[in-house]
Amino acid sequence: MIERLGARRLEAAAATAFAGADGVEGAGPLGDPAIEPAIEPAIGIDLTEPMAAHPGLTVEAFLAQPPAAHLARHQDLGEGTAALTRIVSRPARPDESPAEARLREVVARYLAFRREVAEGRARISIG
Amino acid sequence: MAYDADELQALYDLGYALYQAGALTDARFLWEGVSQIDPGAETAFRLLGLIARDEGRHEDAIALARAAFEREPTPAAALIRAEAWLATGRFGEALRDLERLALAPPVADGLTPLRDRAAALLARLRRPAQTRP
Repeated sequence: MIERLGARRLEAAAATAFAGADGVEGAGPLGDPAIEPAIEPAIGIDLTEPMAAHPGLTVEAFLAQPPAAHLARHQDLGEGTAALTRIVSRPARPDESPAEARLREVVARYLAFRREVAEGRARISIG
Repeated sequence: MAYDADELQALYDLGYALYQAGALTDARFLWEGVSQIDPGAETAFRLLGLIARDEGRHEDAIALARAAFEREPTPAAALIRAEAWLATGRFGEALRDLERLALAPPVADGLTPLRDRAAALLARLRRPAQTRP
């Protein structure tokens, strides 16, 4: 589970960089800042939990590693990339809906960005 | 279904990540697609409700949170719906959702922030109008 969360955190960092690279809009502040704790517990991560894939290493310590280590680990943990690649590699079904086509287009752009990161032409900042 | 479990999981992870990164348009496109690929699950509708709320489309947020709630009555969907009720001035409906949320037993680790937020919104709603900011 924690391994999955670590991967998710890294995926979030990649998505943040992707959003910045594409210049898409950011989510603005919502409502009263005084009552603005995290609304989405499903993406909450306990940074003090040890990672299943790396015994003795907490998520926090993992994230504190140098960027090069992050990138290597990112690829280790990026099992989702293979699945996403399969999605965009399949030919579109004849009955594919416009919504599904847009989904595939977003995934394709995201994967292209990830390739740029892997080739050193774009960077992911993990904080 | 044309998508296997790993592919769906990867789409869910990317969808959460895009939303968390503030890439709302891409997140909306992704979750709209997921809502058609996996129409029985509440997650896509809940995330689309969140995005609608963030984009100020409150009626859409109410409809999407309701669609999520019908698939699975999660506290998160109830809170999104309550916030959209509040944003559109329907305080009675909001109060009903928030009171139910604030009283919910702490059955899951992730529920505490939701209950705290519901309680804070309730406190603000119950404050006399002249003392509200």
